[in-house]
Amino acid sequence: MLCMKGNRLNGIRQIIVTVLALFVALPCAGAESRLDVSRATVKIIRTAIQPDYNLPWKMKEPETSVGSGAIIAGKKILTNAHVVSDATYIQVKKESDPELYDATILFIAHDCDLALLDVSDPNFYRDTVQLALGGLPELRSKVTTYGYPMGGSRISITEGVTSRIEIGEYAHSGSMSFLLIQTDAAINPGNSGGPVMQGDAIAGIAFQANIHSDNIGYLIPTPIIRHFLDDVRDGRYDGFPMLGAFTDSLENISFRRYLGMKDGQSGVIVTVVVPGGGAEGHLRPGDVITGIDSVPIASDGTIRFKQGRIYYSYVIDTKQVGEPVTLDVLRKGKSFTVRYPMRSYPFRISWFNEYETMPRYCIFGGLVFQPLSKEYLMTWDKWWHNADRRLLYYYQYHISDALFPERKEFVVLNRVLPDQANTYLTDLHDKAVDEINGVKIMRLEDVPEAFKKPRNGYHVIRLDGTTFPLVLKASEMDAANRRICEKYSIPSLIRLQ
Amino acid sequence: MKGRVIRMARVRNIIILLAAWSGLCASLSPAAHAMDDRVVYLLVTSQKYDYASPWQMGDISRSNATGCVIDGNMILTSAYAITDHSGIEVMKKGESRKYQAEVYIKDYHCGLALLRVKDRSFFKGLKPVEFGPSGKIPGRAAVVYRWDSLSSLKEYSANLTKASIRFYEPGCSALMYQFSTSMNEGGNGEPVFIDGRLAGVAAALSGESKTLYVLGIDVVLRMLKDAGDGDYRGVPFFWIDGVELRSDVNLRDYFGVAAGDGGVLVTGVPAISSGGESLRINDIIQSIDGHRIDDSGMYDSPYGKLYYYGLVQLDHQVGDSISMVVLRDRRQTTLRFTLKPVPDECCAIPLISHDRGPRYCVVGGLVFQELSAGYLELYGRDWKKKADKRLVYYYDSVKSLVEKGPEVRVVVLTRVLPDTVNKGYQQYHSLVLNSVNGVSVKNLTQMKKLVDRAAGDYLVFSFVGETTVVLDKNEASRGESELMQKYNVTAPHNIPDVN
Repeated sequence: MLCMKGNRLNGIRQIIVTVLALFVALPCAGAESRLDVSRATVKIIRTAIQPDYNLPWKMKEPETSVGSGAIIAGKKILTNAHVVSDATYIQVKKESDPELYDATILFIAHDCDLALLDVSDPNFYRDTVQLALGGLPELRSKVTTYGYPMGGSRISITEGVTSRIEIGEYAHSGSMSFLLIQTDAAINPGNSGGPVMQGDAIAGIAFQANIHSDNIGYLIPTPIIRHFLDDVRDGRYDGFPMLGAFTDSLENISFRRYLGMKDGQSGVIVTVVVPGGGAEGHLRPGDVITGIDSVPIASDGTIRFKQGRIYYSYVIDTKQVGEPVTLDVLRKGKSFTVRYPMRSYPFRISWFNEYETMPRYCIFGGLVFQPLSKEYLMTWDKWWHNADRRLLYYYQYHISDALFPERKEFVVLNRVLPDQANTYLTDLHDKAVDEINGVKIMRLEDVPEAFKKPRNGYHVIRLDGTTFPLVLKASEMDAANRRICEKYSIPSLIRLQ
Repeated sequence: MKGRVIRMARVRNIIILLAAWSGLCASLSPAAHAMDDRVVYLLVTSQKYDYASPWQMGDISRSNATGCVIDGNMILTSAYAITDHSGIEVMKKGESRKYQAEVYIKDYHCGLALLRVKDRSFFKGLKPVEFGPSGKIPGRAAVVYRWDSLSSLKEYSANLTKASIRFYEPGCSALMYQFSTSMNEGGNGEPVFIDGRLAGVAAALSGESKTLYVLGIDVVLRMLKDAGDGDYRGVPFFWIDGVELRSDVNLRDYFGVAAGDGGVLVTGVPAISSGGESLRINDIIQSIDGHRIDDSGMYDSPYGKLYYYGLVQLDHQVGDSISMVVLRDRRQTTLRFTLKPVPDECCAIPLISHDRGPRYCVVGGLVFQELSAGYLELYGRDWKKKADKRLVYYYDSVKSLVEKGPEVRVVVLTRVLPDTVNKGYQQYHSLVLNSVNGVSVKNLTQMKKLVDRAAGDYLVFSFVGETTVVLDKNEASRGESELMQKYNVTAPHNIPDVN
């Protein structure tokens, strides 16, 4: 597990899958609604195309899938990000209308798996209702799900119970955890994005299920939905802010005493201040955070929440990027308060799944350079075991072990496209690049720049670890680049944006 | 070129794997008795160290192996057939009497072992084998002998298919013959004869490809010569990283290698290796002791092309001096250096897990160990994929770790034995220790001293990756005996010379 405690970036292996088709349950009994929710529930048909991070100039085959959505105030459709991500074409269909309407994405939030769609045809909204957002349901209270599981053409309505409210992994982004609601209603592919109602209001949006257990499905609760809707009010989605530091729990009393804490005091310890994060200059490793926005933090990192406790990151998740956080800090026996605006996560190696993004790359002399990212590593089958070991080490530990702090990103030689100019380099693949022509490579943009200045007629590339220099003849490169474009039908040798 | 770099590692793996396989189904070959006064049966009792709970030993197993009698009343066999032995019994000619054998030399770096038997009557009626010629292939058709149970000596025919250099950790080369054979079981020290004379000792058998891997007689003779003066020093240590130039025109032009010249480009030079003081990165090794090294790193030997390590390790002893012609800054230079022995523990991370107990130390239920191949192997055969990525990275960087000093080891918190004193830390494992109370940790012995001599009330352990563990020193020592009893830890540490 990636699991930096105190950070929401937590999972690598996913036991949870998003469900591009949604819930099933028992016949309706409680929580009678006067609203006809089916008039607010739509089926969403999305065709998507994704880039191939292994051959970054190429796209994979287009795929079509089906999900659900809810019409909310303002005549917008709320759904999951994963229902419409990487879309080339989105159509929506109402229960009582044979027409398929074209929809476009207004905002998409991959971290919390939500999206807002618009249908421009005014006919679409005829005879629909708009759903309001409710609050957090009580434990054991009934909720009703609406959607189009398994792609069926008629709406499916099922019922379940609110079993648990906790912070858990959102599988779509691959590495983020937020508040979520667990329910015992079966969630099936196609349910995703559909409204889950309690009374006349939305209690959540169905979005994922646990494939290793029966009848464990998850909803995105309304605090997260509201966060998203508030965020986009300015016309842009910024995402969730980060504390800017990693913390560890302080469950051991000796550790607390060593830090000068009294036996009644509690808090979490700062282990890493993330370079470029909001906490820089405000927190130091070894600081104890005893409270957040005046809410005391226990030594296991939790705060009071409803009848129970929840991880303190929940407080951060209620804020927007740029909003300040106030922390009670204990440093070397002295208590004080820090307040700083929080930023989004400044990553050097992306820990997230990427969508609507084309991979950046640069091909020179047949050598394919790309930034190291989760998407890149995931091109391996069972990537966490099978991808290159050194790259996985960088991926997992570059922040905590402060690996190559000068690098803005890690540039990888993905592969060598065989050509007469690189005959003896063709077995090379998946190596981190250290320097080219004497220039240290700190980001992908440095690669084309460095190749502009060969030395004594040679391009010399050095990789991390004990290795030999890769040597290319400068005079052969123009012809080689032309040949390679043609031979491998590469439309462009470079994509930096 | 990636292939070049990893080749050696791959070969080593194969050898280790094969050594682990052998030991199933018997084959029905004609019984023979021509060699029953030279070939003996070994019954090996082994007990591995338990790297998971280092205060106790692991499983006990029994296996059989084969040896042959050599001059001087000794038995020659494969080192990997008697790994982690706690006792070896020898039997001869199908007699049921068991004699206790003791190990005289067991060298995992060349794969061979020599045994002695205190009771001299064992050798009565036995004859030493005659050695085949060194430095040449004596023929292709061979006979392999193996005691199948106590009573029947089986004879198998085998055909030599190839001779090549193979590697044992740490980078020690051995001349290995490959024979195609019908054997189903073996690779555990069986003698291989060509024209009635010993051609080698079986080190591994691949059941799939029906290939018997045999350490050539040259390896045997080098070892016997080494042991001749009573002071066995082992295979010379040569731990240089290199890459063959192949025909890479660009690389050759860049380094100024003349057409027709070949060689191996040096990419890493750990100082502890032989030649560590003489060789430099970017040198191109072109010949050793007058033998030209080609573009693929091979030289012409009586066995055909062999990898250039053979020139350093096949026919040399520790203390010998060798000469190398290298191309340095486009000029040929002759280097001369003396061959060093393999260091005692073979590197900052012990790369051989056999016969080596992990050093450990338990403090307040935190179990510390020095990182070793044996520990990593706990993650299973795929440990390079499954073990913690940081620990595998340290393993992969073992040569650069050496540069931090000969005493440097990687101290790892391997697990926490849950107890009140370590509440809140019980989920920790696989963490690399940086410092104790602010003093940087070099190895377990020094760590133990730091812990014992710590002033103040607390022990502060800082780990790579910014994890910190603080223990109350007095509480940890007060609870120690109870904790040890609970988890059946017989001793809080096994570090010599520390009280």
